[in-house]
Amino acid sequence: MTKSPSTIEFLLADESFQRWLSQSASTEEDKRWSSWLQSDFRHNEIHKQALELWQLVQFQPAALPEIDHEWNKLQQRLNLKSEKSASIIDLSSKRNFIGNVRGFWFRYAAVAAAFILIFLVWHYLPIIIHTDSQPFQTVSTDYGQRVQITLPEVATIVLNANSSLEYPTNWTDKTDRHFKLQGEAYFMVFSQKQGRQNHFIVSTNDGKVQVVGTRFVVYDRGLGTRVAVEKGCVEVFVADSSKSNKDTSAASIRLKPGDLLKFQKGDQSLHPQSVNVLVYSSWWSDQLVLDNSPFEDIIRRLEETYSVNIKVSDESLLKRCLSGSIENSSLQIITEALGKALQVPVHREGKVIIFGDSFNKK
Amino acid sequence: MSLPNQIKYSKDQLSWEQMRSGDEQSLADIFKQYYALLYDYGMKFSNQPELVKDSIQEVFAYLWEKRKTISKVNSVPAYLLVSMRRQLLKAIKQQQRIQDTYQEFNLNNSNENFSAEDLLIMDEEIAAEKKLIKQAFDKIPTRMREAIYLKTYSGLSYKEISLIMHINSQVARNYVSEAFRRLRLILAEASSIY
Repeated sequence: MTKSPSTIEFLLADESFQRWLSQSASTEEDKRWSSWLQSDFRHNEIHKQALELWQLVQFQPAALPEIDHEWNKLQQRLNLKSEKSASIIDLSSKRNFIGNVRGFWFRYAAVAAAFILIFLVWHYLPIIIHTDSQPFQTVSTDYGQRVQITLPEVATIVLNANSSLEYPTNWTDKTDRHFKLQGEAYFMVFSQKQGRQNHFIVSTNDGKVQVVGTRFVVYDRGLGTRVAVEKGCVEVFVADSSKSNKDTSAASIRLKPGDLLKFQKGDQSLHPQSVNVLVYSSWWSDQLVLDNSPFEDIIRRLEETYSVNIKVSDESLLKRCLSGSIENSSLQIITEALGKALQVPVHREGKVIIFGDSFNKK
Repeated sequence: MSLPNQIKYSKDQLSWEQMRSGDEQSLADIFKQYYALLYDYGMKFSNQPELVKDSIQEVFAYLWEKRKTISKVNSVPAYLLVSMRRQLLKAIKQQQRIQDTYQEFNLNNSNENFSAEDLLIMDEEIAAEKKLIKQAFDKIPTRMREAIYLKTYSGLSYKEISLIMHINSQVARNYVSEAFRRLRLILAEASSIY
């Protein structure tokens, strides 16, 4: 039935043949092309060459922006009603997927990737969301996990690994948006419609941050709280160290874009520094930004995010400072890049990563 | 012949019909399902993330505003890519007009569309080979590269490609076949020199 096509190009332009090469042919097609392959020994060579050419013209997927955030932008623009959602990004599987995809057919690769991520997350990384009758909801992340929480017309929040965030489930136009944070989160707060004046508050053990329409990062992992502001203004209220009254604050300060403030419960004098905020906020994006960042700070961030133990062969490495940006997709890519930047070998043994020559050398 | 994507398309058409009658959830479904396809196409076309993101916003805002006058479609991805392409060309033209007025700020327009830089080349290939493949690919006319991309990466049919590129589907097929022929010749020639 099938006429035997004469040239490789003719075959390569055939949609059924293309499906066969990319392993998405139907069983019927599969049978047909397999018998074509066996019908003539020369077809083996043609098939081999065709496959090589086909694999040459596979394209790399572009690094996608946050689709939920883009959707929120459209919703705002079109004044649509909105649904609440939380989506999860698994930091480790991103790289794996691209690795596997090489050389074979991937139709709508990014869509598939999203499904795979959801699948992986569902199966291997339990995320705790309580939605009982209580008016609060808690979202927690594990090591190596990152969650995007979309609260339409309120905020998009990216919760970093090993963190938890508590917030009220249903709010009206009048209630304050109150978030309790342990760990680290990036907040993109939507500016409010005119006439509405509810507070947006993030609190940690050390105090609270009050906001009106802005982008900022709050970090609290037990050694004081850190706030970095990317856009807009926030006001910080440091908690009183005496437990007696929750509403009194030891001190307060207004922060502007580019400010970084570190504080602890009971602090009375506050000294914001002027910094490159991307260094503190880029962890949630595609590029990890370093700006004269001490290696020991970078190590701490990786340990907190991926639950690994990082060692150096030479203590002086810890004080080295690095600038630039690194693709923020997996621990492996980041550690390889750091090793290259520091010009030291990197070894990984289970949960321990060693920068510098192995110890057995001495 | 059974098409593997037939089922997807009918689900698509359902969302499309519901979107046309004003269902916001369907708009969300279409947006989320095809965002990656449009974004990737846009990036291969212009390599400017902000411009691409803005263009997608425009495409969907237009779609929503005109939903009542938009007709039934045979292929949702083809419709979206047609709009996307139009929007990108418009945005790029606008950008160039601005650049022309401020000639000293003129960007180097060396980033060609659908260039070999976007190819997924296997890690095992040696550097010289990689370079050769890229050079060969960049020698093929842009429109053939676009057809190849829409075929291999986006997985569209010739019919869909013909709508997007404003050619008839036989021409779309010829582009793909001719691109492979040239690629094979260039590579064969180069390897005989070595």
